[in-house]
Amino acid sequence: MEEKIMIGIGEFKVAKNPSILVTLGLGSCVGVCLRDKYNHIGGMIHIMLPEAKESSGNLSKYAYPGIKLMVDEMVKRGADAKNFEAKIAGGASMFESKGFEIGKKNSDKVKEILHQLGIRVLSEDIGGNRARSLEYRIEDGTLFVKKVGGKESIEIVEL
Amino acid sequence: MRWKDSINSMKLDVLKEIGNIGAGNAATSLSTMLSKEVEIEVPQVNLVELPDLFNYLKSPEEIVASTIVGIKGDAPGKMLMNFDSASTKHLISLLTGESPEDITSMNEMQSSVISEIGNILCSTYVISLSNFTSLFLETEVPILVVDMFAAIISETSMMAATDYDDVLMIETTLKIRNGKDLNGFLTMFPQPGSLEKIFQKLGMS
Repeated sequence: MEEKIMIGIGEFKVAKNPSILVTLGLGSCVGVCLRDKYNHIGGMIHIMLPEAKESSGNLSKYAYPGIKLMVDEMVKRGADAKNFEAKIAGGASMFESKGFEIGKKNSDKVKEILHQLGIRVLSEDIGGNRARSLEYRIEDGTLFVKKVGGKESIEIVEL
Repeated sequence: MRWKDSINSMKLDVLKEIGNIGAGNAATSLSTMLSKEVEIEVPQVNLVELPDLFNYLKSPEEIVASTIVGIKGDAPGKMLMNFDSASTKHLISLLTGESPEDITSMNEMQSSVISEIGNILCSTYVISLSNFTSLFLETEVPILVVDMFAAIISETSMMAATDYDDVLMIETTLKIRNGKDLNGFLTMFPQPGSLEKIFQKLGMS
């Protein structure tokens, strides 16, 4: 029986197969899903901002250093960084207010950091103006992205 | 940074009082608009750690219609007036005689009605806050968002207090007495620094 693990805003969790990692309410936030498919370990982080300005407080809400913290934790639990693959979603612009371009800043930073870490991004669903919820299956790396669709339905897209 | 580190129980009481005054006035406005009695539940001031926000909101993925109004002036922040789908349809029907089939595809008039209701309630709240504290406060043009509840709350809170690890919500629920369920959720998110100005004006520090 697969266990669903909820990742809240500004935090990350690492788990082993056959867990399913879930997060909700990604607006301008970006969800980064990583896994090492050979060692059956995965992680998800719900990022709010690109870069931490101080070194105290909750650092997981920043792409830098949050993603690296998650990578280190996965390696500590037995993952091999050479095997990592990533899928990302979020970075929307929910309110049409100028000057709050944080969605794009987040997704750009996330891609920059993943590139620096040498981690391949297999697929992405970023931008737009709708919030997203994610479900990431560590077993096969499937990412389900849920968004509000017409007629108050929830649309699900598989990445 | 955390709101939790700078708010003691005396300040919490002051914030509840502000919530009470603001929401009470907003409820009166809504009463007038609908010609029905609108009640408020006792306003609460809640501090929620960001990762716990989904648990705190009872239905984080529910599709809701929210009007967000920026507060500018001496104590800036964000106001949010949130109605669930049934309430949104009911409100529009009370005021225009017809209701949208679903809130994700409202026409321009319906969107503008709900946005304006939110605008009036938020503005009333801010005006009463301004009177109570003698601070200069104004509201900005409203934005209507129809999306998942948790995303709207976290996004608005982040706009108000970007680097904070917890969310401060001065919130209340508006209901129509003895009528069809109308659930309005009204919240104020102050910007850092705004609370100090409010407390100063009220003779606290």
